[in-house]
Amino acid sequence: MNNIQSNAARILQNNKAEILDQWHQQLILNTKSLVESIGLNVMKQRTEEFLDTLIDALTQDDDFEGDSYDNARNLMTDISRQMTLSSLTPSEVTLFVFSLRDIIFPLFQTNMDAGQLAAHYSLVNSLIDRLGVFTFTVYQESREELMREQQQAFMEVSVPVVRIWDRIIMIPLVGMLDSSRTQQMMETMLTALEDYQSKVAIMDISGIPVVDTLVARHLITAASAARLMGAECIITGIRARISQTLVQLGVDLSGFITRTTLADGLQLALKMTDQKIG
Amino acid sequence: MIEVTILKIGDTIIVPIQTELHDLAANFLQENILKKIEKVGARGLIIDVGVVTIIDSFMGRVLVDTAKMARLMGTETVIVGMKKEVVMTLLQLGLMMQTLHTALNIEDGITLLNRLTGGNHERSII
Amino acid sequence: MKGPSSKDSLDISVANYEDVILARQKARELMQSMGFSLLAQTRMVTAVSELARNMVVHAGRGQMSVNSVEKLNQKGIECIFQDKGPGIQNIDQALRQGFSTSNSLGLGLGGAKKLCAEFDIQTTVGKGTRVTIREWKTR
Repeated sequence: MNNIQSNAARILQNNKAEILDQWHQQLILNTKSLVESIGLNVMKQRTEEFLDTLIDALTQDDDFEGDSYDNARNLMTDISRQMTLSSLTPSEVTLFVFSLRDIIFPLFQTNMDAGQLAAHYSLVNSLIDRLGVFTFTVYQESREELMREQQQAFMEVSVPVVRIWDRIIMIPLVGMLDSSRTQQMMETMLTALEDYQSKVAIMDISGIPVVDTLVARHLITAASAARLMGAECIITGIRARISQTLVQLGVDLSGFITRTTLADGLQLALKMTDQKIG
Repeated sequence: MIEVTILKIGDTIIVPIQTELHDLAANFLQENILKKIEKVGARGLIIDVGVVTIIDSFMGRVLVDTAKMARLMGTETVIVGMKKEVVMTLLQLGLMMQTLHTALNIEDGITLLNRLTGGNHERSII
Repeated sequence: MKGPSSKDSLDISVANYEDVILARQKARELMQSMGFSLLAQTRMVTAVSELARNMVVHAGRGQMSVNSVEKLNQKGIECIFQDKGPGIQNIDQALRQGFSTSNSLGLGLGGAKKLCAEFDIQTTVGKGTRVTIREWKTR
């Protein structure tokens, strides 16, 4: 085994320039967006680094999980992440590694007897397969991570907290209020209360189409949270139909301050904080 | 036993909780606060939990009970500075602690106490 | 790919209220080092507090182990509470009981369940109770 690995390493080392040259051509052809996003020079640098670490690892006579492949794996992790950010397709990602096979095999053919070929083929084959799988796994993981980040960003954007007056913040609620959004909203609201030391939080529910018992419970939780922090919460946007529904459903909001319009709520908030407009 | 400082400023007793209290220490603190009220006849009590990182069901109940006991002795209680993580955890536990008066900080707490002990017992934040 | 496995592990004997504080600190330390958010830490440590107290109150003493665990791509923390106390007759009732319904101690079981992503309880009357809670990163 040792012999085959070092022999393969030697052939790769002797033909480095040629391998890189062909690999670059393949990459420019197949993964154009990657080349565009990181630039041709950076890509050339990375592929060369990668080939070096591979040759290095081969001469250490270790298997793919071993320490000698640490550098190769780290480099591939970096490149895969880059590929995710450049929105490469899964096939482009796998081609990045697999194109190496078509370059290395002909080299073996010209550099050794037929008797040695099979062992070398199988070595490089399994190595490239594992690299391919590894790359794809990292790609997949970083894609999931990216999606989570985007989801998080969306959640934050979807619950804005506006500091509308000194010591008064306002949270306009729009759309569905499920438990995960409520948690998010509460966290954003409490952070703002803490940061601005605001005394009043106005939750405006004008943008919530249906207020049922579940939504009401979320509102009560959020209002209680503001209260525990030491602020007061005013719920505005309680239109006639919502008020009817709430009472018919048996939801008790009597412990909280509620108003029909945001304007009324703001006026009350100003009074509560001893402030006047103008 | 862990000692918690109990300060007296004018008519107000201020208790800044600076360490993690285990259950017996929390009970001990409750007793000491009530003894202090008895001794000095304070009208207001402020418990500052600004650096308390955990309020579980036991500690939550100690706070609520202390406020109730103090009220029986004619002293209004304001809990100040509760951290947002603590607040969210308490709510998830199902502890709304609706009977408690709260304020963002000691200064607001004193303002609220003046209001509360000025004969007006409505919840107010002015 | 690694399957479920545990890396760091720590055993704490919980026999009095000061040990409950120690149990909380150990759970927090591990979560801090794993990069859990402050909110996640507060939730989990509160649950640890409830369950550790339960052991002291109902069983006199018990054992807590804190482990870092992994499943698929997620990292998590696991706390196991094991005691040789009287066990629980009616688990459903014990879980339903809120802190507001009674003044007796050790009502934290239901509370702990509400705070954790995963909650598992095994109990045998006369033999003891084992509660396992887990929290995963990125929740």
